[in-house]
Amino acid sequence: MACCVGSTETARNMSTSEEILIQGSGLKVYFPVKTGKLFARALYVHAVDDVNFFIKKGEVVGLVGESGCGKTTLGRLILRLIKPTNGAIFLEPDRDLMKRYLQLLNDLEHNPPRDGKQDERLQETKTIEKAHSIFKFGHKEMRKYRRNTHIVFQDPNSSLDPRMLIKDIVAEPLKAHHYGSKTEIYERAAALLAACGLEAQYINRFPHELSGGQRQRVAVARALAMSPKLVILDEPTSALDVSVQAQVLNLLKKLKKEFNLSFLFISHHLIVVRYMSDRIMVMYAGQVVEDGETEEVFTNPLHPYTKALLSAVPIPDAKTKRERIILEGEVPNLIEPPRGCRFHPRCPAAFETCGWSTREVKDSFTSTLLSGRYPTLSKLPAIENEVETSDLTFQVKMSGNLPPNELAEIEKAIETEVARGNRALKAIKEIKVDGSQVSSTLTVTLHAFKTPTLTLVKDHHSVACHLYAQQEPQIMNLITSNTA
Amino acid sequence: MGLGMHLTQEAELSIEQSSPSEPLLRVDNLRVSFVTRAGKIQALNDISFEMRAGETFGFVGETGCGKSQTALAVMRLTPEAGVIERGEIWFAGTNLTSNISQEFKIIQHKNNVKLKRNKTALKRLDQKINEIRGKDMSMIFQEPMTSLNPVYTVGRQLSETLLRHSVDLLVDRILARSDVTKEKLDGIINAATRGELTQQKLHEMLQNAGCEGLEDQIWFILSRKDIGVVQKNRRISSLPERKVKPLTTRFLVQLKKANGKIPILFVILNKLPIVRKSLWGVIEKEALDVSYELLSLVNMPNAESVLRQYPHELSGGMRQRVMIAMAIATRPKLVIADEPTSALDVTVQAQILELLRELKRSFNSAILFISHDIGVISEICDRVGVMYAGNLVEVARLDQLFADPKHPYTQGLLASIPKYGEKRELLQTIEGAVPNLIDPPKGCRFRTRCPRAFEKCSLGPPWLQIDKDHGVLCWLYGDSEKHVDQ
Repeated sequence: MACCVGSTETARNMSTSEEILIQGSGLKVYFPVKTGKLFARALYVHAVDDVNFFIKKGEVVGLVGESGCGKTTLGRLILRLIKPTNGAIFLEPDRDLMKRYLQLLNDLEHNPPRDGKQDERLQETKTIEKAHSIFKFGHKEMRKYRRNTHIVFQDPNSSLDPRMLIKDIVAEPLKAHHYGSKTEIYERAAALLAACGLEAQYINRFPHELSGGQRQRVAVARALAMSPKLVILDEPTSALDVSVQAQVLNLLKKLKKEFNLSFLFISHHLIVVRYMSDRIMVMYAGQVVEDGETEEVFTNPLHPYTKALLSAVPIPDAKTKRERIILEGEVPNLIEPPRGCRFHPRCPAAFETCGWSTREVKDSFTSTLLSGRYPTLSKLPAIENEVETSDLTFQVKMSGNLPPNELAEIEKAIETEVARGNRALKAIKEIKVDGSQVSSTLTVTLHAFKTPTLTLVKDHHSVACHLYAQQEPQIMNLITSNTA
Repeated sequence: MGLGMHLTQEAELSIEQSSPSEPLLRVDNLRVSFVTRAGKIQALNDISFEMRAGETFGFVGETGCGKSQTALAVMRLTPEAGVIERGEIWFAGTNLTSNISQEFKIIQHKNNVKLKRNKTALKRLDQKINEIRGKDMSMIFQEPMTSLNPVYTVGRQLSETLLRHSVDLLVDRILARSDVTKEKLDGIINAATRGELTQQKLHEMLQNAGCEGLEDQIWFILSRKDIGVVQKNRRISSLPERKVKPLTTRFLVQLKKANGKIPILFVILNKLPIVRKSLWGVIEKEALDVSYELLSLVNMPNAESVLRQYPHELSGGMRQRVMIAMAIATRPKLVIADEPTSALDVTVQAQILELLRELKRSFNSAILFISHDIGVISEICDRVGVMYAGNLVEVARLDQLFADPKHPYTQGLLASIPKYGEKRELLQTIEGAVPNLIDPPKGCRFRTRCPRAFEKCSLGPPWLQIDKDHGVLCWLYGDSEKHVDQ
């Protein structure tokens, strides 16, 4: 917890004794892409893909990742501003019920037992979701839910109505939820603004008369109006200057203690996240790749992406100069995300089973043959075409006979290429030759791949990476052991 | 790298020419004001600083403190409502502000302030400055999407800079190719195959052969990583095959003699579309080739296809790489980078910072780096200037600034950033907000927020040089001759 700063040990004990405030499982959000063609295959942006999360009472969870990785989508999902393609979110779930629900999901997806009761299980999960998931709430229940969650947006200039007085802005949610009489509402609004450090003289002004920091204070006061249990802070300080950012961060810490709040702190500014949160989740391309206590993740990151991300943080200090991991390439296109681990095309530690596709390997393979780096390959006949024959195999057709021993030379060249850092070629399992006098065909088979799932590796620290996957993945394992 | 070669020498030369007393950029008592309906805003108040050739100088400060205005004033690009009221900007021995008194007039009529700009003087200024702007100093802007033209391809935008400023360089490259014979290149190919060729040696060999224009082209081929030795050799030996027609050669020779102006003989010929294609078209083609080399230099993936793409097809990091390639195309002495990484993600930011560092090493350009993020500043800068409300309050070497910040604002700024790896209960903050610049506090502009303010602060603070590299604008450390006043 943020208030006990000294030792992580006490923080752990305190937070483990507390209950889960909100929990989401199997969340997927696919946004349809307009292609403009009538019969074209429907395309989707896989913005959030199979995310499980939980936030405990009184906890600050930091959600970090690059732009477009799905942080904000997840935040909006919790507020039910968008509906998921799949998955459920539960507010203050009953512990036994959740245990049962996660067990069911686990049996359905990850290691299905062969007892022929899968249909019944599916039915039961649907019943649980229907009764408790926030996405199945009716109008009345939803109004109740809306009191418990609120959001502070990034840019206070655009999230405050320029034609409303400050006091009216803060009173708006109170009016909507019929908080009380008019005087009660304005008294509460004034009290909230005072608690957020805004002096009484400002309550009869308009947003444009305030500075950026003061506007963000108003946005925070509005978020706290109905004393919610969870506040989502979507980049609350990104639009502010450093000295004002410090004021707002201090305010948030103070309010959290005073009102016993839980925060989901979404930010790309890692130094701020480290300062604010108890636990962090790292997202990459729509998936959570690492989840653990803040100090543990920052001092001992496990996922190669987290390592690169943390090493890229510019530290305001002249002395500390660290080893920097510079990632190659760009964030993948989420319409057709890479299969297997989504990070593998950029991962410095990627290996055979990370999910290399035939296209990636085929391109590196032929460019190796044609590169001219290997003089022994110069006797190779000309390449006619290359075909992907299945998910894991492709063929390279050549006009002419392959000289004997040439296969061994190709394999040697590939080994050297791999040593030079061409990781895609690691995925090649075997190469077969089929040849005659006039033409020959190389059939290349790849290793089978697995998709990594978030797996508990240590106490309170889980990661989705094959490098650490010793045990079978279990969502239930993940959440229950974290709450003990 | 290849393109770096000339510049390194140029930069060395310029150091020799300008003794330590003559820095690359010197700004003296620069005062920039904006005239608005609400009154006159003093955006920059007596800014003075110096930059040496090849150094990286950073400006850090909050929104509206004047860091970008300083950069724009140095480029003489101050927006229309603003004027340089007084002060001098010396860049590489040229006074960029020689005529400022004629450029504008501020008319004060009771409470009404109006600005009148002298259009002829400004036109003259533009003519003079266009030869420097974009050539000897160039700028990388914060938001690459808005600073690249969406209707032109990347290749066209890159070659535009080259065609405007470096025609002689392009002509040299073409002529060098037609002069050289295969036999002359054999020695280079042999040395390259044996792996003995360094950039210095290549330079010497080509100088002996009398075709220096080939240097960049050959070094670019040699430094490519995607092709093997066999192909490299083939490409080098095929260079002389790309010859131009005799008429074009004559045109190019005359063009070179006339310093990039189209020779009188060819003015009419050049207007005929078909002839133009073989005359000027050759240079345009060469500019595209150089653009390709530049894009590869900034580690652009698939540089060849990016040349034909439009800015909207690229990601933020790639766009910023195009901007950087454009900024270094003419091998400027000074690159001004105005928040070049603020619109990017951390991992991409790390890539771009690494690239800038690499380019600085090989090009020896000076970089004026502007950022609000002191973390980024500490990654790349040698010296830092801290700005507050239009004043330059402290200048120091990077290590000095972190170890021993003098100005109370710098101290507050550093304390208000969460320390990496250190958990504190509450952050130290600077109370209050940045003052309104129409009517700033008299004396020191920070005194209304300063925890250590005392009576003297209502007078103009002195600029105190604590040691050679460290200066501060504050009364706390004594008095000096130079005061910054309203």
